[in-house]
Amino acid sequence: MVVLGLVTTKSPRRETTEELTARIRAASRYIPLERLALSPQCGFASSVLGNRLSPRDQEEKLRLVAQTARQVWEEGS
Amino acid sequence: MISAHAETVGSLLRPPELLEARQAFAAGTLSAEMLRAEEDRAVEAAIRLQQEAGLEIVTDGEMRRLSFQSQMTEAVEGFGPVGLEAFVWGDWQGSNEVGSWRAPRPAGLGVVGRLRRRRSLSAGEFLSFRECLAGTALVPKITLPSPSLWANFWSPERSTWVYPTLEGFLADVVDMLRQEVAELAQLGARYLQLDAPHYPLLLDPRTRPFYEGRGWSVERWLRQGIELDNAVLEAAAGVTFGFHL
Repeated sequence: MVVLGLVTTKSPRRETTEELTARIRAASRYIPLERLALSPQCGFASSVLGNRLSPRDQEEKLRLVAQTARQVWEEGS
Repeated sequence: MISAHAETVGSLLRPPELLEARQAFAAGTLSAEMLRAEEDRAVEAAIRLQQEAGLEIVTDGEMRRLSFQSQMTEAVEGFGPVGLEAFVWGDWQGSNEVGSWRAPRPAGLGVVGRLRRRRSLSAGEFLSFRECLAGTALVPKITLPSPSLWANFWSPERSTWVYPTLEGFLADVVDMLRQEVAELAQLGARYLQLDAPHYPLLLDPRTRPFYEGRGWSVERWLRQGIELDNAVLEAAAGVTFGFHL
């Protein structure tokens, strides 16, 4: 499996499902979709200092990763 | 076999209460038991957060760690005194959105004694994490540092009397990690991850010189680094590994 780190943990930027889906589809031209997965690109707090985003941003990003994965791999859209 | 298509990498933001408790513990005004209780609460909140987000593979947010790799220096003696600055030094020029970070490499950084495993790195983390997950179908993931990441802790000036070569030092790091993987597997861990964020740094002309300055060329880093990673991955059967670049 190749896990694509497409959601940044380094800033509060809000990625969209559409944007992520397009990038996953682009990756699937090289590796079969079933062998791809989605995650943030890194941890949210490599040390106790933590990255510059809020707990709310973190929550939204985790939700986005899970929801996008469900859409792409379970619902096939 | 792990077949989910979504997961988090590992660490999550620490709650302010946990950061305060860590400070109070360091200052000697909070007991180890009280710190532990705060960590337990933070782990439970981290699990809830991931479960409610809809993830099936979860981490404990690394709530008990100073850094993603500090379980090693806390459990194994020989690294000398290691503070937060050992893990966060660097000169990172990010975009406006991400920001920049500059902190000097601590002058005294470098392994100063033969590595000796005092206790498990993450077996304690895993056992209490699993207890929190009882009754759920969530899969726990535990992260461990890639062996060659520790090149940062070998210093030609400070370490050669105990480890004349980087290879000798990293061979002992591999040994520590193999013991840990075997123990975690025996306790029932089925999903582990090696964190290897130093590989992308080899590609960046700004960060590559540090790694080549340890004495290995980029080609050797890739060839030998991967051999060491594989040695850790082969330490137990029946475990799925993630590899985080």
